[in-house]
Amino acid sequence: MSRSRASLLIIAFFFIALLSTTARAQSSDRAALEDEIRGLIDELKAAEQLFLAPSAMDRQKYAVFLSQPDTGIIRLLPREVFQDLVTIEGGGAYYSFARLTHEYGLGSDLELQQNQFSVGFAGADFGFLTRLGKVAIEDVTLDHPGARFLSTFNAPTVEAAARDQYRQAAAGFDANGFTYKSRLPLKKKKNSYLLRSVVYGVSDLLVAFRVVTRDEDGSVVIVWKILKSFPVPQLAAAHIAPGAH
Amino acid sequence: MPHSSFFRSLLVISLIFDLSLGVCGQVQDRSDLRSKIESLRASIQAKEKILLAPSAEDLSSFAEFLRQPGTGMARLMPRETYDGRLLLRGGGAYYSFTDQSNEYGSGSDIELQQNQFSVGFAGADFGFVTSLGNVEIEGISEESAGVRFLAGFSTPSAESDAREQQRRAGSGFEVDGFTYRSNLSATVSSTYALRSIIYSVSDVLVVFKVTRQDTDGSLVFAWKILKKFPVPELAPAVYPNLKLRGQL
Repeated sequence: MSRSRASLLIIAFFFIALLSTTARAQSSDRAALEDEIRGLIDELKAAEQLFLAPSAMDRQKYAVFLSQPDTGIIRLLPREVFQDLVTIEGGGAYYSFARLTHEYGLGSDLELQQNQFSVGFAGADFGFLTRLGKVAIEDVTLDHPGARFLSTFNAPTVEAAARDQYRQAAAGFDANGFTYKSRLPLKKKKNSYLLRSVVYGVSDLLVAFRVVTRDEDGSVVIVWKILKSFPVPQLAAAHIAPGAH
Repeated sequence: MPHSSFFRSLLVISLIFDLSLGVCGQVQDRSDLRSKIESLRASIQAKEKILLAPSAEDLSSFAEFLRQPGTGMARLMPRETYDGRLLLRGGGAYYSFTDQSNEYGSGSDIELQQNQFSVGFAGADFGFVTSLGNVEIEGISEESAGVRFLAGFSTPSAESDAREQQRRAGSGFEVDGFTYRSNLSATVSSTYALRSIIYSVSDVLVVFKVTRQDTDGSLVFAWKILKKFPVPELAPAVYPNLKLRGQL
């Protein structure tokens, strides 16, 4: 009797030991799998950074320009092609000249989608784009006639007025012989553009950029320079008059 | 003179050739890089599928249950740990019983976060979850205590009513001794009933049992769809006092 009880105890002990070994093996397998995934995601992100980077040739060509302050060279990927391929939020189609990042969601200034540049993406944010034609980026300054309207425009602080500017920019309008819109088609030739981007609570910038390369995958490389930084715009709290319905 | 012009032409040709080689090289590099990105993504997705799958032991212990239609077994990762750490949107913390997918999107019915289950994630979508206690999932039906209210609930079609249900579920309420909420503590061995209403996507009544918790905080559960309701739609808002310009 006591012998059979002892045998039962031994069997139970081995069974529990076997179960705990299996559980330990399972959790160490999962930890190893997680490490493997994390390593591959790091590798993927590094490959994406290379994919987003302008070529050495482009950098070299603009080396002198890029040695000036507030300038840069970036690549934009067409949103409709790469949005689901790269892990970066926005698929590498957006850029913030204030924060120097492609990551969408924290105040982007420019987007490339369906062969168009656009500005103004969230809330009451808005902006204007105008094409200057085949002008060297070095020659685009605040004195350029196309920059006059953009450099003197006052960002509204009332939401209704900001929404009105958004609508006006979507429809497009002319000032001093230049057309300003929130969305402009990307021309094949190496055109320069001016951009005023108003992102409430984040930044308000006047930027000049030029398309220097267009790759076969639809991506474009642009060189840019910030012509003017305005004070960070804020929207005033909505005021409702007493008794208003 | 013709000699020097010959050399100049030769120089121009070689320069063009060099440039075109450089461009070709760049295009090749970019297409190689794109292929590398695509292959890395595929490999990560395959490994994440394995990470999210219940173990063979989990599946075999519910083999008989899983032979029934409308049943399954899945894993939820804790969102606070895994969101942003996996390629999968939502970090494996969501599950859609209709799509049978952990990918966060328009069809997600349940989320695991901070050791709580929750339902209703976007727009006017809402849901109720209740704990049935430590009971076997096999015996639960639409008529079971705690499930009856969920089975008989009529989905509102007016947005204001849906928002009202959202608020009601947020604070929680009791019916026949059961508490219904949009979020509840997740407990191993407990069985839960869930009604998840996603406008224009799905409306399902599901019962699920948490079978175990892994060392990484993930929960494995067996589930069964008790009822699929017609896909709910929100009626366009009606403003009785608003007149169109022509009617003024």
